[in-house]
Amino acid sequence: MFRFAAFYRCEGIRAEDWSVARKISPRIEAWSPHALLLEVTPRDEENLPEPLLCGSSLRWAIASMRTAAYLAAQQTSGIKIPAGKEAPSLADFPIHLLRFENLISLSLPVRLTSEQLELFSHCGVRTLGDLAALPTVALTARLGLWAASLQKLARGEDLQPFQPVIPEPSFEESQELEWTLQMVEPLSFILANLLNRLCARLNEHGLATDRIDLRITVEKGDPEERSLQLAFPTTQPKLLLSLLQLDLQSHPPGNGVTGLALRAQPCPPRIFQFSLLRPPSPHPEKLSRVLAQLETLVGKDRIGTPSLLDTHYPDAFQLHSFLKAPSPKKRTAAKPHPVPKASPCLALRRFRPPRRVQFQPEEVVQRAGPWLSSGEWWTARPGQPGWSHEEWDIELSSGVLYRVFWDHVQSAWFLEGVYD
Amino acid sequence: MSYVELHTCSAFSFLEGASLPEQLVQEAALMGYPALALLDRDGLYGAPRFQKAARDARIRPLLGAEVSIEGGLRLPLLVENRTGYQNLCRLITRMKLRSEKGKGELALAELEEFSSGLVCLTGGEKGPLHVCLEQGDPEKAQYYLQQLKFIFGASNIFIELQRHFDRKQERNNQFLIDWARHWEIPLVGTNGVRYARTVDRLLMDVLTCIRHKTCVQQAGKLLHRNAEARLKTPQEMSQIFATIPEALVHAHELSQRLTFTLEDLGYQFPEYPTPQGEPMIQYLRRLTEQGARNRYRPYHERARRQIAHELQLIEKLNLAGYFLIVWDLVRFCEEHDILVQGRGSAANSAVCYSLGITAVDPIKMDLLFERFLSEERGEWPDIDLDLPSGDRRERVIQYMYERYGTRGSAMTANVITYRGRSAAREVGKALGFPLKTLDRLSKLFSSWPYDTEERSADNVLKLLQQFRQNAAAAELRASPLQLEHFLNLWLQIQDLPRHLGQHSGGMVIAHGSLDSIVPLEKAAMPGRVVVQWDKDDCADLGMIKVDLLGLGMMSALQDALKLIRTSGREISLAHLPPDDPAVFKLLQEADTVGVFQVESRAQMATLPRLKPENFYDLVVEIAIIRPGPIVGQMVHPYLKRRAGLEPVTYPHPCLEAILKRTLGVPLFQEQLLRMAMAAAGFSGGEAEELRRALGSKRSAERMHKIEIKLRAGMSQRGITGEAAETIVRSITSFALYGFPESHAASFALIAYASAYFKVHFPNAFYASLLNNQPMGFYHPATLVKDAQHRGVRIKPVDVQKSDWLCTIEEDQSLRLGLMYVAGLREQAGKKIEEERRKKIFHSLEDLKKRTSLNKLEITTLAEIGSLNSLGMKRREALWQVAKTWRYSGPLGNSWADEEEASPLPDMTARERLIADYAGMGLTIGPHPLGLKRPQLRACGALRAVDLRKIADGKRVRVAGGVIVRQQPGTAGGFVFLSLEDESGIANIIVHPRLVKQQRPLLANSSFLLIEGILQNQNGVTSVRAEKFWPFEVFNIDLASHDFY
Repeated sequence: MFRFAAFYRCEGIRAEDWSVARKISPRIEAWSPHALLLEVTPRDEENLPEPLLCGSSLRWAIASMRTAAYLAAQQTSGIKIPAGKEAPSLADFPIHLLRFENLISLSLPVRLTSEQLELFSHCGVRTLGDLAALPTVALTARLGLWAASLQKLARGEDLQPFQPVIPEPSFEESQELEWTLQMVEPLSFILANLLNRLCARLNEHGLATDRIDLRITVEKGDPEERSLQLAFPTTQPKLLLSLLQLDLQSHPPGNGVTGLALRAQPCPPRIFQFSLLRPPSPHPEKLSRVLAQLETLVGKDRIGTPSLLDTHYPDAFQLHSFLKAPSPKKRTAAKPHPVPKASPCLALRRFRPPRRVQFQPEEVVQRAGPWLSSGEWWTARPGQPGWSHEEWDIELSSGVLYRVFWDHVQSAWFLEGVYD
Repeated sequence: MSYVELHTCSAFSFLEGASLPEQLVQEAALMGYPALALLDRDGLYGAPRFQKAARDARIRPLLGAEVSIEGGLRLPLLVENRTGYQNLCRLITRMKLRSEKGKGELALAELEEFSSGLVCLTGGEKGPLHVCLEQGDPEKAQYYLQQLKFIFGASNIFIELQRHFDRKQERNNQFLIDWARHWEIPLVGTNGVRYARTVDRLLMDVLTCIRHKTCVQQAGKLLHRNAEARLKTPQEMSQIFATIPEALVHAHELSQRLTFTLEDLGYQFPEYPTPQGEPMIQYLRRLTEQGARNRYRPYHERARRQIAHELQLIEKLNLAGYFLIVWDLVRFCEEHDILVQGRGSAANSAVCYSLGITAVDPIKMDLLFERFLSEERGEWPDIDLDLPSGDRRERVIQYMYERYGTRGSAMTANVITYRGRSAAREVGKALGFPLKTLDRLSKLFSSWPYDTEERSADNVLKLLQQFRQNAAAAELRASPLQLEHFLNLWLQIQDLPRHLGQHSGGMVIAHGSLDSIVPLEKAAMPGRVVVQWDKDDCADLGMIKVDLLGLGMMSALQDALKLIRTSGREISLAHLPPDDPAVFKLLQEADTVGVFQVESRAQMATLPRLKPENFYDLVVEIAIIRPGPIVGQMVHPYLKRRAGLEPVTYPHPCLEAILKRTLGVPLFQEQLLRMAMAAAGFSGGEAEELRRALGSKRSAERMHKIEIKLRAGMSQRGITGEAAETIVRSITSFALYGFPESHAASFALIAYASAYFKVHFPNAFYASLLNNQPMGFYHPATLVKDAQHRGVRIKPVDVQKSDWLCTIEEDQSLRLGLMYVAGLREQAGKKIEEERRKKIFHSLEDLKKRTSLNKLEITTLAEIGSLNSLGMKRREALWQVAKTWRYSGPLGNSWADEEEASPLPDMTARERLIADYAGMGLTIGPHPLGLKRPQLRACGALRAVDLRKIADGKRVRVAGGVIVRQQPGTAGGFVFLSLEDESGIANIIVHPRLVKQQRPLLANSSFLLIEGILQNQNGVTSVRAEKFWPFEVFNIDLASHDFY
């Protein structure tokens, strides 16, 4: 005869609680984020593991009804309710055990709100026994038909069938090497095999992946962990392989490789439809490959979509990931700023970053300025600016026009650009 | 060369300027400016203070405003002459009165009507020219230029150039220079000043963040690019405009044209239309004579002489109209059965007494008329009228609007400034502190620990150290750098205007249109209009005002009169028997909960010692418990002399006549003025200066100057040593506000009346207090218990018997009103009242059908027992309510009416108590402590009433609900608690050291058990606390009045 053991942890069920539960019973229901319900035999009852019996924040209770076990485990630990004695055993427990937040994960047609709990309290109905003792017809006349279900719960009765958890498939492949590999190229063959198997299994389950975790076991030292985050889900082993190859080329493993393990994060596959109204864009797989190649060449921090920062600091900008760049704000066509008639138009070629310079004052033939800007005083001591520039446009005796600035914080001249 | 800044915005541009007008003037004076122009946004809020500061600094004040134009633009307008000033006021008034509060824009076309006497500058970055250029529309900018030239005339429009070392700005300036030449409009150079010094730029950034509801880290380009929008020296401005020197020349020339000052306001007090067209003074004399014969019976010679003297002065100063206007107000109140009483220095006037404006006979009380009115004062008299708060007072205010027009009268403003906790929160938010840090920061800043009155470098350093310690203790998640920025900015933001509120009762009136004297705008309250100046500004500029103040007690007295008369008894406040022994017995025993002005803990501790026996004793009692006498250490000497425990002495023989009736101890403001005149030879004018220094805007610097004068004067008269010290201490301590004698006398009348009602008509007294909450010192729960102690029968709220307000029933019991049902809307309550008058309710369903009660309301009524008269106890009523609410309509009605026994147990006494407090905030059942008494007795806790029987100095324990917490500024950090139990109220004194250790406990616990040493002296008991234990009483959360 099966009964049910409830595991309850106030702060939420942990992974180790699942491990303990699996050792006791293969049929486990995830009752809520705070509780597990295990189908147990009388022998299982007698053989509950020691840690469970003493000194743990994990509470447990056993009863013939899951609801009774769950309610009991919340209130106390180590209780075994005899069959048929659920209602009297629960009678003294407080009514708030049935509050909505406690039962939300059960998807039951029971909604005991805090307002109703307060009303019950004012009516002197404070325990599960008090609730169970109320006349059902009168209660449903006041709260609705769901109140009858509420009373059943108060008596520890189950309203739904047992729904044990079916474990999720894992998408992992690994291979230990018989000898140490130093070069990257041979690793590609092994990765290709692993990827083929992974992608085939994903396809079997109708899934794709948007993240690949690679674990490289090396001869000396700790294993290396790498992650490849994709812009879109895929099951293309060739694409995944080329991206992994690029990553390995740009960051080869430190020591000889003795093993490889791949884990794919499953996700629903991408549904892709071309649009008649938007211009054709590069194929996402090709684009990913090209971006990965560029990153290998110039570095991860030096590729992306620039956007200006909202600050008076000259030329301040930041780079966003090209694939995930924020969509540009809709702008109405602005009129260009008018230019006074006598003014020439010049282009400024900027140095990024500005270069520290020195020059002799007698070299300066003409100058215009200063143009003052400063800010971020909140990052500096009171009375000092975070940054402070005094910009000048100067013409040197060589005839070249420059834009320079004096940095008051660093006390130095910098060359910002040259006018063309 | 000199320079005149023609475009300055102060902090009265509300978050668009970071310096007060005084700070701008001070800085300008240091730089040698001959003149300075103040142009705040859409108003002249700071103009009076600016004018005053400029006069003191010998700088010529120039006035104007930056007005908002449609399209979000701003146009600076400078006032050239009185016509221009009046036009500016009317222009701003028009905009403000037709728009939501804080908003409004003018159409360009509207400017023409008001352009005379005004000079227009084209503005800075928010001006039309720069804005159009930024939008890439130079044609539109030129269109604006032409329009403005047309509206103001060629000689009254100037193109404004500002140079803040900004490329974009300078690029636009090139256009402006070209256009100036093309359109032949002169250029004028300004610096578009937003703050006085470079360092103020930080505060400006914080204010910008507050305005845009962001923080400095995210404000980006909303903040200024640099710190150039400050006052600059003439040399700096000269260098900046070196390429266009004519811009500064034009600025100087323009400043010479602007000759208007606020001294030329043209304010006139309205005339009173006498019934037969006779001169106002003649009518006044007639009315006074009639009134005096009624007041003075017989009309003795002394009264005649005094009245004649006063009328002569009134005629000389041409103030007859003012007195007639106030008399008219009082007459309106009497005709509409609204209690009214003049207070303040008006009570020193026999004319006011005769006219019925005041109720205190100044001749009998020997009050000083010159305190109210004298030639030397150089300012209008000030008559304040106390009225019942609420609708009745509003009627009087609306009468003023009706009589003088919405443009002829308005409330005075009250400038709300950044202070304490709110300032801490705003600055913290602007600096990007996380929410938790903000909460903890604002808790650090209660009103007392950080004294910003003295902003010397030493004091700031001390504050910084103190703040750092407290911040560390509060575990604030902010770096030392952030905290330092925070504290500096918090200090800087103190006293800066935050927004304009309205004064509670000050009204100004003018002959003709008030809106040509000062701009008017809408108040937050509908139907109210407010001037842009506060009452001190109005007084400084010679504008007459009348204060219409609402007193909760006046309202309560009026209601009590009505209740008493309804029960068939006739009574009049004016004819209450004076010096009733029963009333003075009540006062001497300090049984004064609910009695006006004498119900506080401090008053209750003084009454048994002072033992008032007559009206004047009551006047003294009211005046003595004020910061002035307390800090001046006058309270104990007076009480000891009164008790015969020390001899009556005088600091100097010349002061005997002045101090005789207060036993040699100065208690009233008038005495201090007379002392200064007698001991230090102050003239009337100097005494007047002393009085002003004792007025509302106190300044340590001002008082210090007076002290020097006092000592010098006394020294000349040979008064030195201890005598001089006593006199100086007495006078300077009144910097912390003591009462004028007339004011105390006016209040004493009300206090006497309220005590009389408490003694002789307690039912009406308590009913009227309960009907006029919030008011007074105590929560309604305490008033109910006090009433029950006095034998008043209080009946519960009952839907079959209760009105919205509390009432007196035929058997003289007090029926609680529906207003005390938590969550019950007034509309719903009045509907119950109305329906019940037609026919009583026969069932719950009937009640529900005939009223608009919602589920929550009817549930609360059930829970507090208001439905008991429908034949149901509380639980049963709740059970039925739940069913009745579920089924409505014809089908449900039959189900709802089915008889069904309730399966629920009846409420216990404890549960009824909990329900009462939850549903009403009070109970007419036993006090919660009464139910806990067995456990408390086991802990050794005595009842409050038992403390009187214990000897002084014994160690005792007492427990109760905390109903009052006080930390007076004059108490040196001591906290005073009032604990209420089933027998009364116990007073607890907590030492500052314990306050620091136990602050959260003291501040947050509803119930406390306290152990300490009993003080039982002269009929006053209190416990000096040493230990505290919080305890719970059925989860009841007691409401308390906290004063700190």
